[in-house]
Amino acid sequence: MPEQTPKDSPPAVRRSRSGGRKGRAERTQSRRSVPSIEAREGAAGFRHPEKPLIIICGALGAETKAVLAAAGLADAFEITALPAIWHNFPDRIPDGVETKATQARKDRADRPIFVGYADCGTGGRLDEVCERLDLKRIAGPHCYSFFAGESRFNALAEEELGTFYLTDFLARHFDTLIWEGMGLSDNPEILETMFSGYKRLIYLAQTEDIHLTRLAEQAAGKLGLEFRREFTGYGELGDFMAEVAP
Amino acid sequence: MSDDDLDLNALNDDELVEQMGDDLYDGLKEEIEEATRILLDRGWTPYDVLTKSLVAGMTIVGQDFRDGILYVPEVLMAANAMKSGMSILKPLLAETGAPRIGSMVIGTVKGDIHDIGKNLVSMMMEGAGFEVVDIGINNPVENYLEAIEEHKPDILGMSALLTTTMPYMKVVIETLIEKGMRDDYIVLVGGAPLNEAFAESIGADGYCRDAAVAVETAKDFVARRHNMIGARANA
Repeated sequence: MPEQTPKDSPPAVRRSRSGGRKGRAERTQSRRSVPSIEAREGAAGFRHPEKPLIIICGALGAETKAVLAAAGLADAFEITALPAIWHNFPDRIPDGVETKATQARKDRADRPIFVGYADCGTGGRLDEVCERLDLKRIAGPHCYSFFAGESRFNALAEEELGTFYLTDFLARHFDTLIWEGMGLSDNPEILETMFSGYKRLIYLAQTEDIHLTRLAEQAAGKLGLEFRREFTGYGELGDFMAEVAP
Repeated sequence: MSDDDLDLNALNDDELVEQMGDDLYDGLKEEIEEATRILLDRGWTPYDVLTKSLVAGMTIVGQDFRDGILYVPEVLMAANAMKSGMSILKPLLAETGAPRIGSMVIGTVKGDIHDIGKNLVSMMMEGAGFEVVDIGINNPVENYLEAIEEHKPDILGMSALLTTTMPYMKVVIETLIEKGMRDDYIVLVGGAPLNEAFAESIGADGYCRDAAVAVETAKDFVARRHNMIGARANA
């Protein structure tokens, strides 16, 4: 067996028969070129240090603004977002939130900062960051729960554990975030492996939008799941914003 | 024949093994099957084909997954390719009595249907020479107890993807303690929201952050266990 090739250099012999596939060297290059939050945003990306800051998931942008506008709080906060694609990479969220919060407090050390995430698959690591930096996040395990409301979400999970959920954002961006983002477009043969435990898709709708409902139904079709729509509105997201409003 | 259409038969053994590493990395199932058969035809033992080509290749896949160079879909493709090679080797390994490192019962805990990570662990463990009994998803404690009583494994593996389901691992471990069975098994846990501290707090023996680490951790624990048994026997 030849010695293992170091990660930073391509293998000496490459006879990839893979056609459109990338191979190890190219993947290494492309995956390492993703810029960090700090590199993209710079350390001084905030314009209103006098206002409280909300660090939101990029998948909650429209919803957060709608909730704040409805409550007459449209200008009460400065809002900054982390990439919505981190829905697929929750391990990046705690560091991302910490970087943003630390940057924001360079301008004003006592700035109130709120976090527009639930635990979101971080396994308590986001809570550790929140505790250390005195940040407050939305309660609950994930956005499906705070949109549906905890008791309703638990009832849905009890009814059928194998439920895959979409929100307005995820319905709109299903192809980018799920179909392509989870590699199903390139490797449709892994659909069965990835979704064999799921039986139905529930679209938790924040708004009445026929187009989004159609997209969500198409998504269920692509995944081979039964479809159901349930209107939730903004659920506990509104409660959170009302609670932290200045 | 196009440039992409490589004749695997034309490669010598070293080149073929290296090519298998590339093909595993790219998740090329048919190529892995073909190369596995070629090596067997050339007189390689099934165990050598497994360890020197498939396991070696998957080790690199596991490392690059850990380092964020490969993502889940690509690892699944690689694992599926490995599985196709394994399906050829498995009956032959049983016939030839290849060395078995240890055994494991593994399952996703109650309330959780996620099994991608668990399946990867199963495949990598099998590839490393463990006998694996996979009891699937959404397992209440009774399923774990039934499986370990039936199969008497060295290791009990539990997996969870959700923050809400990972505490159930503690229920299983506490039940083992109540029944006086805890020390009979090495308990390894894993899953995206877990960490070292959680594993320690629930009384697991080890936390495995990914499939590659699971294999190394399992080997380490089983070796230590065998050493202890050996020491007791010699005392």
